Amino acid sequence: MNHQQTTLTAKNISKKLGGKPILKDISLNLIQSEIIALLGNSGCGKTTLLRIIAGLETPDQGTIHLSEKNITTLPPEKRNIGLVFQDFALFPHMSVKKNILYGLHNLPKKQRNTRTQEILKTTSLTEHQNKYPHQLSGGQQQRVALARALAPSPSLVLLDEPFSNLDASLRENLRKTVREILKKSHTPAIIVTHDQADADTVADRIITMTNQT
Amino acid sequence: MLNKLRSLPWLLSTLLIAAIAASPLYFILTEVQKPTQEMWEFISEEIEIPADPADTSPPENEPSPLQNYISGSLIMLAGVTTLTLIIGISTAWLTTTFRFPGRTTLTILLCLPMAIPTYVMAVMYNELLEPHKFSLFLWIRDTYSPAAAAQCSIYWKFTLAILILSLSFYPYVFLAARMAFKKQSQAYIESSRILGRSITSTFIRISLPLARPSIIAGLTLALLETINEFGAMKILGIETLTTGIFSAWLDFDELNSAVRISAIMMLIIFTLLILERLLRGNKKFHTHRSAASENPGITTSKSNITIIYTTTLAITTLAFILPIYKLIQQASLALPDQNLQPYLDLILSSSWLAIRASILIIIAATLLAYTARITPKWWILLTTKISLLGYAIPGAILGVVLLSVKGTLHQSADSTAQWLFHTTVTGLIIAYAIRFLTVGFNPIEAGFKKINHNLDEASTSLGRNKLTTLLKIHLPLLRHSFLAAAIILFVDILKELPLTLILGPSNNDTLATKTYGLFAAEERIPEGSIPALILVATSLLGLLILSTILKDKQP
Repeated sequence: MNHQQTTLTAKNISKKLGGKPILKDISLNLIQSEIIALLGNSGCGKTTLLRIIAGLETPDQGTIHLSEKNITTLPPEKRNIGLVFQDFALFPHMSVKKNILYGLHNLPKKQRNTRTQEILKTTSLTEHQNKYPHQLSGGQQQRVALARALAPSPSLVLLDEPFSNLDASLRENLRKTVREILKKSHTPAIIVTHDQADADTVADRIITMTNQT
Repeated sequence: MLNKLRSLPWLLSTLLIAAIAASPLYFILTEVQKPTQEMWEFISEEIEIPADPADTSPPENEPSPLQNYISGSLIMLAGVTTLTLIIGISTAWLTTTFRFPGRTTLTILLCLPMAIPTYVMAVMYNELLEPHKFSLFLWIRDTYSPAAAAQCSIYWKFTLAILILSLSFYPYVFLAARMAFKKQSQAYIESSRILGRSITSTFIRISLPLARPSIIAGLTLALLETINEFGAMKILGIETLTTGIFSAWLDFDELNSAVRISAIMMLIIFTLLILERLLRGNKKFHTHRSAASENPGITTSKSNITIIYTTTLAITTLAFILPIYKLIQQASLALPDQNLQPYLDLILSSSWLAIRASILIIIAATLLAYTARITPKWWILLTTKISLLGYAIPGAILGVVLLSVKGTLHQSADSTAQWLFHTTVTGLIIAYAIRFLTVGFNPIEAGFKKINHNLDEASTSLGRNKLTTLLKIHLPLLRHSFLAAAIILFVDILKELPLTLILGPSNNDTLATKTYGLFAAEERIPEGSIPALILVATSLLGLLILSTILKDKQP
């Protein structure tokens, strides 16, 4: 997959949740392998926008294009967009390796293990691959979540407040690590955060969002 | 729109299950509109006593059998309500408010009566009290009058029945109340104490009202079981709507009359369920932060502890130890002469039947719960609730309805229909499924609720569809829930009597029907005590395994 051509274009996105307008006419452009941050306080709709891009919600109005293809109504499992959750959402009954293998079902069998070892190396998790999520530290769990999202070589990776579940002392190191991993895999990313330092360290470009209402 | 289409198979499965579960009700409605059969007049009309010319008072009619059935059921409901509330709430309060050595053991002992089928308890109490009963009645007859003795015998009958059913079903209220009391925040109770209220006053004014929704739910379960009860009622000689249904079907061979009685019974049950909704109310009681820590209980004086022990041990003795003692004693009378082989066969066939039904129920319940999880639209939730209605339909009614559906299908000579009911066992398993779907659904739904939706979304973002997510993510995480559901279902189906009596193949007994047959029809108490003991042992084992699983799951 040639990430140099990947573009995400979100045009005129509007969304109401529970009757209240959360997003009003938002547009967004993501070029090549850049990392952008959506920075804003809670309630400004940044997570909603992320979920719309991922396909977990549908916009009331507007369109989303990924590399020229209109994905607005495409179901999430067909979008090939990776998602890293705030609380990591690692499958508790699967080891690190199995968690990562889970998304590789579209690869021919022989390639699955190779790809898994590859991504384990990129995220420095090789020695932990047989451990279970509850046996890992917060920072390690976050790397697993990232590895799992990146393993299927998605066109785009979305991260929802990836550092808010971690101790402050860890955050500085992890910010740099996450940026490194994303850059190494040449995957464009959108990271949603309320923390200025997160945005500054990880992203190439920051988009500030304010409360729509 | 596209989303809905992809969920279509799930939606269809829910609709199918709901249609099957609700079909008995539909059948009742259509049958009731047909003309009545011969014996209906006899059943429903009061018996006129010809006026005695010498008697100046107006002639009183004897109540009709139907009126007897209705009053019998209502008396039982009223009595069981009162007694289960008293026993269940008091024991729950004592074992949660106070801390004392041996509390855990006492709590387990208080749950054990659930292992004894009601008809077994009824027979054992009859055996225990029989000699005393006669001497008592003879004394009343001699001291007062034969009429008084006759009247006393009626009071005795009902009192014993209410006592036995209450001792069997109070655990529903006990467990519900206990759960509610334990979840209550210490902060509320402490505030009340500091404001000057005594422990008892706090209980009545704070704990009890807060626990009301839970208690009402437990009480409703106990009452549904009460109205459904057949074996114990027959053994104790009490006529209720359920015995009336059996009588109309087995004695008079009139399906329509049986269904009419069922309709009246369903009216009472719906009233009960509506009352339950109203009494539980829409209040969402906010749980204070400190509810997370479990309340260890107040230490109290030795004399209070003695009272607690006396009360709970008395109840346990009456509800469990005494019947078990009698059961073992009776069984030991018959054991030496018995060939145990037929009983082993019975255990195997009954267990296999229960296992098959349990598996079907667990699959159906999982489908229902998962569909509601992925498409939480209001009409899906409504359809799910309808699917669970089967629990409110008494076993006797289900049996009668399904038998006649089977009869209609046979007559239509449709090959698919014939295959569906080619053995009565298939029909029986479907009937069990309708009746016990709720029992399987509740633990499985609770298990689903504990799984964060994030995991579903993570799976989706990794390119997996809903079925794969269910199989690879949810099922492994639901192991404990499945096990809990399987155990409860297995024990409940094994003990089930009214449905199995009506619908079961005549040459194939289950442990339950064999027990009842020996007790009631043949009055061979010692012989019947053997399968009864097996039933109780199985239930006890199930209960103990269940409590171990639940303890392991505690955070």
